[in-house]
Amino acid sequence: MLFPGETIDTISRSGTFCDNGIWRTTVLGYSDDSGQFAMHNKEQIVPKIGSEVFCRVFKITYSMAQAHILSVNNRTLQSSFLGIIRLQDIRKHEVEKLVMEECFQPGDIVKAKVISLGDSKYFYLSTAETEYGVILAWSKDKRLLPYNWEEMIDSDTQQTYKRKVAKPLILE
Amino acid sequence: MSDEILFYGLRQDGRRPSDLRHSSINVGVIHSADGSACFSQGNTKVMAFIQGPKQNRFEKEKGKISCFLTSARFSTTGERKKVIRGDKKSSEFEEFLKGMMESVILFENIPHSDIDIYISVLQDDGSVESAAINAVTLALIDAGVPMKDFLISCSCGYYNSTAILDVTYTEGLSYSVISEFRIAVMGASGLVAYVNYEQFGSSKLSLEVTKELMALAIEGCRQVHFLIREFCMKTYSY
Repeated sequence: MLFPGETIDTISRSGTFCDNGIWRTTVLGYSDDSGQFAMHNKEQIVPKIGSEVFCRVFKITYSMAQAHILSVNNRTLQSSFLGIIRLQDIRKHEVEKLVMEECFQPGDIVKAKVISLGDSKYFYLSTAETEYGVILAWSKDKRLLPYNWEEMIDSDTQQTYKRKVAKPLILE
Repeated sequence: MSDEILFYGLRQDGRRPSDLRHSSINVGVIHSADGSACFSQGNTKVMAFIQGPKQNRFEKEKGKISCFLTSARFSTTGERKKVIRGDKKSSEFEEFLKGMMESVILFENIPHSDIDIYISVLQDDGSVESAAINAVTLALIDAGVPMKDFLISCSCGYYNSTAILDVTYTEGLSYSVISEFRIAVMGASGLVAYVNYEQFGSSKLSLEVTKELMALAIEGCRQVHFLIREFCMKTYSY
Protein backbone atom coordinates (compact mmCIF):
# COMPACT_ATOMS: atom_id res chain seq x y z
CA MET A 1 0.00 0.00 0.00
CA LEU A 2 1.40 3.39 -1.03
CA PHE A 3 0.07 6.70 0.21
CA PRO A 4 0.27 10.05 -1.60
CA GLY A 5 3.74 11.54 -1.38
CA GLU A 6 5.73 8.34 -1.02
CA THR A 7 8.83 7.70 -3.09
CA ILE A 8 8.85 4.99 -5.73
CA ASP A 9 11.75 3.44 -7.62
CA THR A 10 10.25 2.80 -11.03
CA ILE A 11 8.72 5.45 -13.25
CA SER A 12 5.07 4.71 -13.85
CA ARG A 13 2.60 6.05 -16.35
CA SER A 14 0.04 7.69 -14.10
CA GLY A 15 -0.48 8.64 -10.51
CA THR A 16 3.06 9.91 -10.04
CA PHE A 17 4.97 13.17 -10.25
CA CYS A 18 8.63 14.20 -10.22
CA ASP A 19 9.79 16.29 -7.26
CA ASN A 20 13.40 17.46 -7.75
CA GLY A 21 14.34 14.24 -9.48
CA ILE A 22 12.55 11.99 -7.01
CA TRP A 23 9.44 10.20 -8.22
CA ARG A 24 6.56 10.32 -5.79
CA THR A 25 3.02 9.01 -5.80
CA THR A 26 0.03 11.34 -5.95
CA VAL A 27 -2.87 9.03 -5.11
CA LEU A 28 -3.51 5.94 -3.05
CA GLY A 29 -2.23 2.83 -4.73
CA TYR A 30 0.08 -0.11 -4.54
CA SER A 31 3.09 -1.46 -6.41
CA ASP A 32 2.15 -4.41 -8.55
CA ASP A 33 4.19 -7.51 -9.39
CA SER A 34 6.45 -5.72 -11.88
CA GLY A 35 7.20 -2.90 -9.45
CA GLN A 36 5.00 -0.43 -11.33
CA PHE A 37 2.70 1.87 -9.43
CA ALA A 38 -0.97 0.97 -9.79
CA MET A 39 -3.67 3.31 -8.61
CA HIS A 40 -6.41 2.17 -6.32
CA ASN A 41 -9.09 4.53 -7.55
CA LYS A 42 -9.70 5.05 -11.17
CA GLU A 43 -7.89 8.09 -12.51
CA GLN A 44 -9.73 11.38 -12.53
CA ILE A 45 -10.83 11.80 -16.11
CA VAL A 46 -10.33 15.28 -17.54
CA PRO A 47 -10.04 16.12 -21.25
CA LYS A 48 -6.48 16.93 -22.27
CA ILE A 49 -4.98 18.16 -25.53
CA GLY A 50 -5.06 15.27 -28.00
CA SER A 51 -7.74 13.31 -26.14
CA GLU A 52 -10.36 11.60 -28.24
CA VAL A 53 -13.83 12.58 -27.01
CA PHE A 54 -17.42 11.73 -27.73
CA CYS A 55 -19.81 14.63 -27.41
CA ARG A 56 -23.43 15.49 -28.01
CA VAL A 57 -24.12 18.70 -29.96
CA PHE A 58 -26.75 20.80 -28.25
CA LYS A 59 -26.59 24.11 -30.09
CA ILE A 60 -25.33 25.27 -33.45
CA THR A 61 -24.63 28.80 -34.59
CA TYR A 62 -23.25 30.26 -37.82
CA SER A 63 -19.65 29.90 -36.72
CA MET A 64 -19.57 27.11 -34.17
CA ALA A 65 -21.31 24.12 -32.62
CA GLN A 66 -21.54 23.71 -28.87
CA ALA A 67 -21.45 20.25 -27.37
CA HIS A 68 -21.44 18.37 -24.09
CA ILE A 69 -18.38 16.14 -23.78
CA LEU A 70 -19.65 12.77 -22.60
CA SER A 71 -16.58 10.57 -22.60
CA VAL A 72 -12.82 10.95 -22.87
CA ASN A 73 -10.63 8.22 -24.39
CA ASN A 74 -13.52 5.71 -24.19
CA ARG A 75 -14.10 6.42 -20.49
CA THR A 76 -17.41 7.87 -19.40
CA LEU A 77 -17.39 11.14 -17.50
CA GLN A 78 -19.30 11.65 -14.28
CA SER A 79 -20.31 15.18 -15.26
CA SER A 80 -20.14 16.54 -18.77
CA PHE A 81 -17.76 19.28 -19.91
CA LEU A 82 -18.57 21.92 -22.48
CA GLY A 83 -16.86 21.91 -25.85
CA ILE A 84 -16.90 23.99 -29.00
CA ILE A 85 -16.32 22.91 -32.60
CA ARG A 86 -15.49 25.99 -34.63
CA LEU A 87 -16.33 26.16 -38.33
CA GLN A 88 -12.65 26.23 -39.34
CA ASP A 89 -11.92 23.10 -37.28
CA ILE A 90 -14.51 20.89 -38.98
CA ARG A 91 -12.26 19.85 -41.85
CA LYS A 92 -8.90 20.82 -43.30
CA HIS A 93 -9.79 21.73 -46.88
CA GLU A 94 -12.37 24.12 -48.39
CA VAL A 95 -13.24 25.58 -45.03
CA GLU A 96 -14.79 28.66 -46.67
CA LYS A 97 -17.45 26.51 -48.37
CA LEU A 98 -18.63 24.98 -45.10
CA VAL A 99 -22.09 25.64 -43.71
CA MET A 100 -22.65 24.66 -40.12
CA GLU A 101 -26.14 23.22 -40.70
CA GLU A 102 -24.72 20.84 -43.30
CA CYS A 103 -22.17 19.47 -40.80
CA PHE A 104 -23.89 19.05 -37.45
CA GLN A 105 -27.38 19.16 -36.03
CA PRO A 106 -28.38 19.37 -32.37
CA GLY A 107 -28.60 15.88 -30.89
CA ASP A 108 -25.83 14.35 -33.00
CA ILE A 109 -23.16 12.30 -31.29
CA VAL A 110 -19.79 13.43 -32.56
CA LYS A 111 -16.36 11.91 -32.22
CA ALA A 112 -13.75 14.66 -31.99
CA LYS A 113 -10.29 15.50 -30.74
CA VAL A 114 -9.38 18.15 -28.15
CA ILE A 115 -7.12 20.73 -29.77
CA SER A 116 -7.03 23.37 -27.06
CA LEU A 117 -8.10 23.73 -23.47
CA GLY A 118 -9.54 27.07 -24.51
CA ASP A 119 -9.31 30.49 -22.96
CA SER A 120 -12.72 30.39 -21.32
CA LYS A 121 -15.16 27.75 -20.22
CA TYR A 122 -15.07 25.70 -23.41
CA PHE A 123 -12.74 22.99 -24.65
CA TYR A 124 -11.93 23.47 -28.32
CA LEU A 125 -12.61 20.38 -30.38
CA SER A 126 -11.66 19.46 -33.93
CA THR A 127 -13.07 16.99 -36.45
CA ALA A 128 -10.43 17.63 -39.12
CA GLU A 129 -9.58 13.96 -39.67
CA THR A 130 -11.40 11.23 -41.56
CA GLU A 131 -12.14 9.22 -38.42
CA TYR A 132 -13.70 12.20 -36.64
CA GLY A 133 -17.19 13.53 -37.22
CA VAL A 134 -20.80 12.50 -36.67
CA ILE A 135 -21.13 8.85 -35.64
CA LEU A 136 -24.74 8.78 -34.53
CA ALA A 137 -27.55 10.93 -35.91
CA TRP A 138 -31.30 10.72 -35.87
CA SER A 139 -34.11 12.00 -37.99
CA LYS A 140 -37.54 11.78 -36.33
CA ASP A 141 -36.26 9.07 -33.93
CA LYS A 142 -34.93 7.07 -36.87
CA ARG A 143 -31.23 6.22 -36.78
CA LEU A 144 -29.37 7.47 -39.83
CA LEU A 145 -26.68 5.38 -41.43
CA PRO A 146 -23.46 6.73 -42.93
CA TYR A 147 -23.77 6.98 -46.70
CA ASN A 148 -20.68 8.83 -47.78
CA TRP A 149 -18.23 11.19 -46.11
CA GLU A 150 -20.67 14.10 -46.14
CA GLU A 151 -24.07 12.45 -46.17
CA MET A 152 -26.11 10.16 -43.96
CA ILE A 153 -29.10 8.14 -45.14
CA ASP A 154 -32.44 7.09 -43.75
CA SER A 155 -32.71 3.43 -44.75
CA ASP A 156 -36.53 3.50 -45.04
CA THR A 157 -37.10 6.62 -47.14
CA GLN A 158 -33.68 6.68 -48.85
CA GLN A 159 -33.53 10.38 -48.00
CA THR A 160 -30.05 11.73 -47.38
CA TYR A 161 -29.05 14.30 -44.79
CA LYS A 162 -25.90 16.37 -44.87
CA ARG A 163 -23.43 15.75 -42.08
CA LYS A 164 -19.66 15.71 -41.53
CA VAL A 165 -19.58 11.93 -41.25
CA ALA A 166 -16.90 10.03 -39.39
CA LYS A 167 -15.28 7.05 -41.09
CA PRO A 168 -17.36 4.11 -39.85
CA LEU A 169 -15.76 1.50 -37.65
CA ILE A 170 -15.82 -1.81 -39.47
CA LEU A 171 -16.19 -4.61 -36.98
CA GLU A 172 -15.02 -8.03 -38.00
CA MET B 1 -17.96 18.91 37.81
CA SER B 2 -14.78 20.17 39.27
CA ASP B 3 -12.73 22.66 37.32
CA GLU B 4 -9.67 20.48 37.67
CA ILE B 5 -8.31 18.95 34.52
CA LEU B 6 -5.71 16.63 35.94
CA PHE B 7 -6.25 14.39 38.96
CA TYR B 8 -3.15 12.47 39.96
CA GLY B 9 -1.85 12.60 36.41
CA LEU B 10 -5.10 11.47 34.79
CA ARG B 11 -7.64 13.56 32.93
CA GLN B 12 -11.40 13.80 33.34
CA ASP B 13 -12.06 10.95 30.96
CA GLY B 14 -9.29 8.79 32.40
CA ARG B 15 -6.68 9.42 29.75
CA ARG B 16 -3.06 10.11 30.42
CA PRO B 17 -1.79 13.52 29.22
CA SER B 18 -0.30 12.08 26.02
CA ASP B 19 -3.23 9.83 25.05
CA LEU B 20 -5.51 10.33 22.07
CA ARG B 21 -9.21 9.68 22.26
CA HIS B 22 -10.56 6.65 20.51
CA SER B 23 -11.13 7.48 16.87
CA SER B 24 -13.11 5.79 14.17
CA ILE B 25 -13.04 6.35 10.43
CA ASN B 26 -15.50 5.72 7.63
CA VAL B 27 -15.12 6.49 3.95
CA GLY B 28 -17.65 6.57 1.14
CA VAL B 29 -20.41 7.74 3.46
CA ILE B 30 -22.09 9.90 0.78
CA HIS B 31 -22.70 8.16 -2.50
CA SER B 32 -23.48 11.24 -4.57
CA ALA B 33 -20.14 12.85 -3.71
CA ASP B 34 -16.89 12.02 -5.50
CA GLY B 35 -15.20 11.33 -2.20
CA SER B 36 -16.40 11.41 1.36
CA ALA B 37 -15.20 10.49 4.82
CA CYS B 38 -16.37 10.61 8.38
CA PHE B 39 -13.79 11.05 11.12
CA SER B 40 -14.73 10.83 14.75
CA GLN B 41 -12.46 11.29 17.72
CA GLY B 42 -14.13 10.66 21.05
CA ASN B 43 -17.37 12.60 20.86
CA THR B 44 -16.17 14.89 18.09
CA LYS B 45 -17.56 13.83 14.75
CA VAL B 46 -16.82 15.54 11.46
CA MET B 47 -17.95 14.59 7.99
CA ALA B 48 -16.24 15.84 4.84
CA PHE B 49 -17.08 15.36 1.21
CA ILE B 50 -15.52 16.40 -2.07
CA GLN B 51 -17.20 17.49 -5.28
CA GLY B 52 -14.81 17.42 -8.19
CA PRO B 53 -12.49 17.75 -9.96
CA LYS B 54 -15.14 19.44 -12.05
CA GLN B 55 -14.93 22.04 -14.78
CA ASN B 56 -14.16 25.48 -13.41
CA ARG B 57 -16.46 28.38 -14.06
CA PHE B 58 -13.77 31.03 -14.28
CA GLU B 59 -11.38 31.78 -17.07
CA LYS B 60 -8.37 30.28 -15.42
CA GLU B 61 -5.96 27.53 -16.31
CA LYS B 62 -5.36 26.71 -12.65
CA GLY B 63 -8.25 25.34 -10.66
CA LYS B 64 -9.67 26.72 -7.47
CA ILE B 65 -10.55 25.22 -4.12
CA SER B 66 -13.66 26.22 -2.24
CA CYS B 67 -14.20 25.23 1.37
CA PHE B 68 -17.52 25.26 3.16
CA LEU B 69 -17.59 24.52 6.87
CA THR B 70 -20.98 24.07 8.45
CA SER B 71 -21.80 23.05 12.00
CA ALA B 72 -25.00 21.24 12.74
CA ARG B 73 -27.31 23.10 15.11
CA PHE B 74 -27.29 20.15 17.48
CA SER B 75 -23.49 19.79 17.42
CA THR B 76 -22.67 21.74 20.57
CA THR B 77 -23.17 20.76 24.18
CA GLY B 78 -25.62 23.03 26.00
CA GLU B 79 -27.74 25.32 23.92
CA ARG B 80 -28.32 24.93 20.22
CA LYS B 81 -26.03 26.72 17.81
CA LYS B 82 -27.55 29.87 16.35
CA VAL B 83 -25.05 30.55 13.58
CA ILE B 84 -24.22 27.44 11.61
CA ARG B 85 -22.02 28.93 8.90
CA GLY B 86 -19.93 31.98 8.18
CA ASP B 87 -18.96 33.09 11.67
CA LYS B 88 -15.48 34.48 12.22
CA LYS B 89 -13.88 31.32 13.52
CA SER B 90 -15.12 29.04 10.76
CA SER B 91 -14.40 31.58 8.00
CA GLU B 92 -10.83 31.84 9.26
CA PHE B 93 -10.48 28.09 9.27
CA GLU B 94 -11.94 27.82 5.77
CA GLU B 95 -9.24 30.21 4.54
CA PHE B 96 -6.50 28.25 6.32
CA LEU B 97 -7.77 24.97 4.92
CA LYS B 98 -7.95 26.40 1.42
CA GLY B 99 -4.31 27.51 1.64
CA MET B 100 -3.19 24.16 2.99
CA MET B 101 -5.00 22.19 0.32
CA GLU B 102 -3.70 24.45 -2.44
CA SER B 103 -0.16 23.64 -1.33
CA VAL B 104 -0.88 19.92 -1.37
CA ILE B 105 -3.09 19.27 -4.41
CA LEU B 106 -1.36 18.94 -7.77
CA PHE B 107 -3.33 21.23 -10.05
CA GLU B 108 -1.03 20.57 -13.02
CA ASN B 109 -2.51 17.09 -13.30
CA ILE B 110 -6.10 18.34 -13.37
CA PRO B 111 -6.14 21.55 -15.45
CA HIS B 112 -9.29 23.68 -15.61
CA SER B 113 -10.84 21.84 -12.71
CA ASP B 114 -12.24 23.05 -9.43
CA ILE B 115 -12.56 21.17 -6.17
CA ASP B 116 -15.26 21.90 -3.62
CA ILE B 117 -14.71 20.74 -0.06
CA TYR B 118 -17.73 20.53 2.19
CA ILE B 119 -17.25 19.89 5.89
CA SER B 120 -20.05 19.38 8.36
CA VAL B 121 -19.43 19.21 12.07
CA LEU B 122 -21.91 16.72 13.49
CA GLN B 123 -20.69 16.69 17.07
CA ASP B 124 -18.43 19.27 18.66
CA ASP B 125 -16.37 18.07 21.59
CA GLY B 126 -13.13 19.96 21.05
CA SER B 127 -10.41 19.60 18.37
CA VAL B 128 -12.95 20.11 15.59
CA GLU B 129 -10.46 21.72 13.22
CA SER B 130 -8.00 18.85 13.56
CA ALA B 131 -10.72 16.30 12.95
CA ALA B 132 -11.88 18.32 9.93
CA ILE B 133 -8.39 18.29 8.38
CA ASN B 134 -8.15 14.52 8.87
CA ALA B 135 -11.61 14.01 7.40
CA VAL B 136 -10.79 16.17 4.36
CA THR B 137 -7.56 14.23 3.79
CA LEU B 138 -9.45 10.95 3.86
CA ALA B 139 -12.12 12.31 1.54
CA LEU B 140 -9.45 13.51 -0.94
CA ILE B 141 -7.80 10.09 -0.85
CA ASP B 142 -11.21 8.50 -1.39
CA ALA B 143 -11.91 10.81 -4.34
CA GLY B 144 -8.50 10.05 -5.85
CA VAL B 145 -7.45 13.69 -6.20
CA PRO B 146 -3.73 13.86 -7.08
CA MET B 147 -1.78 15.15 -4.10
CA LYS B 148 1.87 15.79 -3.38
CA ASP B 149 1.44 14.69 0.19
CA PHE B 150 -1.35 14.32 2.66
CA LEU B 151 -2.14 16.24 5.81
CA ILE B 152 -2.58 14.87 9.29
CA SER B 153 -3.63 17.08 12.14
CA CYS B 154 -3.69 16.93 15.90
CA SER B 155 -4.31 19.36 18.74
CA CYS B 156 -2.89 19.77 22.21
CA GLY B 157 -3.29 22.03 25.20
CA TYR B 158 -1.21 23.25 28.11
CA TYR B 159 -2.49 23.04 31.65
CA ASN B 160 -0.62 23.60 34.90
CA SER B 161 2.78 23.16 33.22
CA THR B 162 1.66 19.88 31.62
CA ALA B 163 1.10 19.46 27.91
CA ILE B 164 -2.05 17.48 27.15
CA LEU B 165 -2.86 15.87 23.83
CA ASP B 166 -6.22 16.01 22.03
CA VAL B 167 -8.17 18.50 24.15
CA THR B 168 -11.88 18.03 24.70
CA TYR B 169 -14.50 20.77 24.90
CA THR B 170 -14.44 21.03 28.71
CA GLU B 171 -10.65 21.05 28.78
CA GLY B 172 -10.67 23.82 26.22
CA LEU B 173 -13.08 25.87 28.32
CA SER B 174 -10.89 25.94 31.43
CA TYR B 175 -8.74 29.00 31.80
CA SER B 176 -5.45 27.43 31.03
CA VAL B 177 -2.68 29.23 29.19
CA ILE B 178 -3.37 27.53 25.88
CA SER B 179 -6.72 26.03 25.13
CA GLU B 180 -6.04 24.51 21.75
CA PHE B 181 -2.74 24.33 19.94
CA ARG B 182 -3.33 22.82 16.52
CA ILE B 183 -0.80 21.67 13.98
CA ALA B 184 -1.02 19.86 10.67
CA VAL B 185 1.91 17.88 9.32
CA MET B 186 2.44 16.22 5.98
CA GLY B 187 2.27 12.46 6.29
CA ALA B 188 5.08 11.41 3.98
CA SER B 189 7.61 14.24 4.29
CA GLY B 190 6.91 15.17 7.91
CA LEU B 191 6.85 18.91 7.21
CA VAL B 192 4.67 21.11 9.38
CA ALA B 193 2.00 22.78 7.24
CA TYR B 194 -0.07 24.66 9.78
CA VAL B 195 0.30 25.93 13.34
CA ASN B 196 -2.43 27.82 15.14
CA TYR B 197 -3.45 28.32 18.74
CA GLU B 198 -5.97 30.05 20.92
CA GLN B 199 -5.03 31.63 24.20
CA PHE B 200 -6.88 33.23 27.06
CA GLY B 201 -5.83 36.49 28.69
CA SER B 202 -2.60 38.28 28.00
CA SER B 203 -0.24 35.48 28.97
CA LYS B 204 2.25 34.71 26.26
CA LEU B 205 3.48 31.39 24.98
CA SER B 206 7.15 30.94 25.81
CA LEU B 207 9.59 29.27 23.44
CA GLU B 208 10.14 26.27 25.70
CA VAL B 209 6.42 25.63 25.98
CA THR B 210 6.00 25.97 22.20
CA LYS B 211 8.73 23.41 21.66
CA GLU B 212 7.11 21.05 24.14
CA LEU B 213 3.68 21.46 22.55
CA MET B 214 5.05 21.01 19.04
CA ALA B 215 6.85 17.82 20.02
CA LEU B 216 3.72 16.42 21.65
CA ALA B 217 1.46 17.42 18.76
CA ILE B 218 3.80 15.89 16.18
CA GLU B 219 3.81 12.70 18.24
CA GLY B 220 0.00 12.83 18.22
CA CYS B 221 -0.02 13.32 14.46
CA ARG B 222 2.18 10.25 14.13
CA GLN B 223 -0.42 8.27 16.05
CA VAL B 224 -3.25 9.60 13.84
CA HIS B 225 -1.16 8.81 10.76
CA PHE B 226 -0.76 5.25 12.01
CA LEU B 227 -4.53 4.97 12.54
CA ILE B 228 -5.33 6.28 9.05
CA ARG B 229 -2.73 3.95 7.55
CA GLU B 230 -4.16 0.97 9.33
CA PHE B 231 -7.65 1.92 8.22
CA CYS B 232 -6.65 2.33 4.57
CA MET B 233 -4.77 -0.99 4.62
CA LYS B 234 -7.93 -2.67 5.87
CA THR B 235 -10.40 -0.85 3.62
CA TYR B 236 -8.58 -0.58 0.31
CA SER B 237 -7.26 -4.13 0.30
CA TYR B 238 -6.38 -5.87 -2.93
